[in-house]
Amino acid sequence: MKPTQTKPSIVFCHGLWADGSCFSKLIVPLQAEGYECIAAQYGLNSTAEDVALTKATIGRVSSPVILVGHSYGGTVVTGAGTDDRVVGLVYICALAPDADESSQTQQSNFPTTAVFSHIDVKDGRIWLLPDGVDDFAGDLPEQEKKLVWATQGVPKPDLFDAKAGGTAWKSKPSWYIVGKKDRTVHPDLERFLAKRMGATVYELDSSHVPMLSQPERVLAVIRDAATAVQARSTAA
Amino acid sequence: MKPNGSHFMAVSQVPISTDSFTHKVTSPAWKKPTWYMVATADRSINPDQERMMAKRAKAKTVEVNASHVAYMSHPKETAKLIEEAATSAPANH
Repeated sequence: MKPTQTKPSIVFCHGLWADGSCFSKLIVPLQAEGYECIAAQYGLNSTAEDVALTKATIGRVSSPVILVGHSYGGTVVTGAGTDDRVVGLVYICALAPDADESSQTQQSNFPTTAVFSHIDVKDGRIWLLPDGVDDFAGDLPEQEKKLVWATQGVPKPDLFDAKAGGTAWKSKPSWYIVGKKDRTVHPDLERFLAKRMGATVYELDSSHVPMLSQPERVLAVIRDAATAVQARSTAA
Repeated sequence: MKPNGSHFMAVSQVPISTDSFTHKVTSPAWKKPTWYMVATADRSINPDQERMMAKRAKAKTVEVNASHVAYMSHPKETAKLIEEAATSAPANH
């Protein structure tokens, strides 16, 4: 018999040009604090597949679950988070489409970010060019930037045209981290999405990847979310 | 592997598709020059199977006393093997 779990489990959803290892600086300390953690490693082939794999991944840890999404992972969280096992959502520089929107819809309402001048669409995938990593993860040391580039997960070109299949932020409490120096998802788009979902909002002086450049600050937000959902379940 | 490392791998695992192990590779690339690291304490792929495949590929083979993730527990030895391949592979053109 497993002891009754007092802490929610944490399930991570990565974005483009990344994989589950982008959360390594969060997973190791959270596990040490007693949180069950798992990262959904999906293929960026279609949003429906990525959402389905995330729901399957939720089944590998105890419920209840907090979903943490970075960038496009926010679309995945938005789709998968309607699952009954999910009690909270943490968005990191992330997309959060409404029911009638794709990942791309709101992006088009804000200025195009610098990273998109450094991509190559070839062989059925969107690749981040080596010089694009400065606009993706510019506040990391040179060595780490090269590692981010070398381990990129690459999406199919039409990934952003799909809908998420749910709008979890309408029914679940949410926390949102804005990257003030983000040159991949526009900070004003992040602020707009955070406000629309009624999230508890944090602004960090970071690039698009605060989980790598400011992991302590991101951890603090995840702990806030975990404490809040625990308080809710105790009160209920 | 240190506990932290193996723990992290468990939580960031990529689930495989069920046909990953039934699909046949036609014209195997190991007919090109090949280097092979056998992990003698491997409990995911049998070390003897690794030795058989290395021999069949006529690979330049090294053995390390490692688990299946030899590249994480023995990165220096692994990098050395890759560097050896990179410096001794014949130029293609």
